[in-house]
Amino acid sequence: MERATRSLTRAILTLGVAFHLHVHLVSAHGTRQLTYIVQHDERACFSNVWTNNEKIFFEYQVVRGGNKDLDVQIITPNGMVLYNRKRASGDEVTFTPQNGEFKFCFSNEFSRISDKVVMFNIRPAYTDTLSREAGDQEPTVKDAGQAACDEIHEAVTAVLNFQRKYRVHEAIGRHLAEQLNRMVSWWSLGQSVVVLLCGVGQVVALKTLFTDTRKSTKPSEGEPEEKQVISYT
Amino acid sequence: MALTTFLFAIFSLFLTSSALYFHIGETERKCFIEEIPDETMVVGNYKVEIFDSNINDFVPTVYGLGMHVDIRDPDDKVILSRTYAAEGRFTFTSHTAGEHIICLNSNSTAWLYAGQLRVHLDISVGEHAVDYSQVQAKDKLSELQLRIRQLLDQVEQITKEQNYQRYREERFRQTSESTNQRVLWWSIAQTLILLLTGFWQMQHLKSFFQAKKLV
Repeated sequence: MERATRSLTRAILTLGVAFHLHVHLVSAHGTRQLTYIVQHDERACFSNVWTNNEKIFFEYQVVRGGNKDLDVQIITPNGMVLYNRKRASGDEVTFTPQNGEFKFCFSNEFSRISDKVVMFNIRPAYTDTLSREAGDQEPTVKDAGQAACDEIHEAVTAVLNFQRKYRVHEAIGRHLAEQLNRMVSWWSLGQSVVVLLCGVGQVVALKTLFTDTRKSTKPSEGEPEEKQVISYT
Repeated sequence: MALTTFLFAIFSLFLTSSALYFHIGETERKCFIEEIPDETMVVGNYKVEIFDSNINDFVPTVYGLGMHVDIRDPDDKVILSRTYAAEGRFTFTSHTAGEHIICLNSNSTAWLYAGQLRVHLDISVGEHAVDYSQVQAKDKLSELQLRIRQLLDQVEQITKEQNYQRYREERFRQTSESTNQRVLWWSIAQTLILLLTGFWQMQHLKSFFQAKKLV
């Protein structure tokens, strides 16, 4: 009985440790990326707590909505404003965090109607080595193979980051193209209606102009009788 | 001593694993967008904490407070709408490629004190989370082999992204071609409308003036 409980406890413990390990690995790649919809009149802050002093790279881009601008701030744990830009559409910031909670704020408080979509990502400025990403001990001396792997890793990570950037810009372009596509239809339809209305309006206006002359000339003497009979077709 | 080190290790593990977090009012709703290819799994890990004014800090919720998750696909169809516990994960697999909107709000409707909630959130797309120590143990890989395996996974990720890029490029091109066609046909149609209107005006006015004996 006692043995059973002991093994059960051990199993629970192992499970607990495994869970922790798993949670750790989930964000081991170190990149936090979110695309968030900032509603009008809203100020949204995202926080992250750092415990080491490794350089951090923060990148944001307003994807769409209004004039594609937001007020962006980075606030340090002691409440200082590290970075402040009004009506920014996109930027890259590198900074060294201290211990504590950093806030990344996007404010759309100046906008009354338009919601904005902002994409941002926070990642270490320098690429981690493969062994660190796998959660292993960093080898004190790398052999040629490992060094080559790490070099490839850096290059490949750069490619991934470029892809990410490209993706956002492509999304902006695509959104614009889709809007243009819709607008072309509506605008053209509107213009056609305007042309038709103008055409009919011109004729009606012209006709009333001549009808008015007829009315004003009606009481005057010496006009031929036939003038009174007018068909309005 | 060993225990303290162990505890510290666990503690630091837990800290480094902390995701981004944000604050949310009880009736507020936060929406995120994930642009993903089709047949892709998205995993969202989250944790909700509530503000305790007694200790002036956020504490894990113990009452029946949960999180309502609403996910819509690019065609605005609801693919997930469920209320989850205060801590957990939601997963879904996309069926159409494009922008999926994920909305979160707390399920409290009549919360006694209008509490501030803190939500830790980490959304990962695809198979980001691979436990390499398990892979190494299972496949009996040497260290170098494991490194190559990691690189392979990254390259695979690039290939996937490239594939999706091709899809999006195709869609973009379709949109542009459609715009091109629309501009062309609309300009032809508008020219015709203009000519017809002019012609009709002339005809109409001619008969009008003739009837009025002005010409």
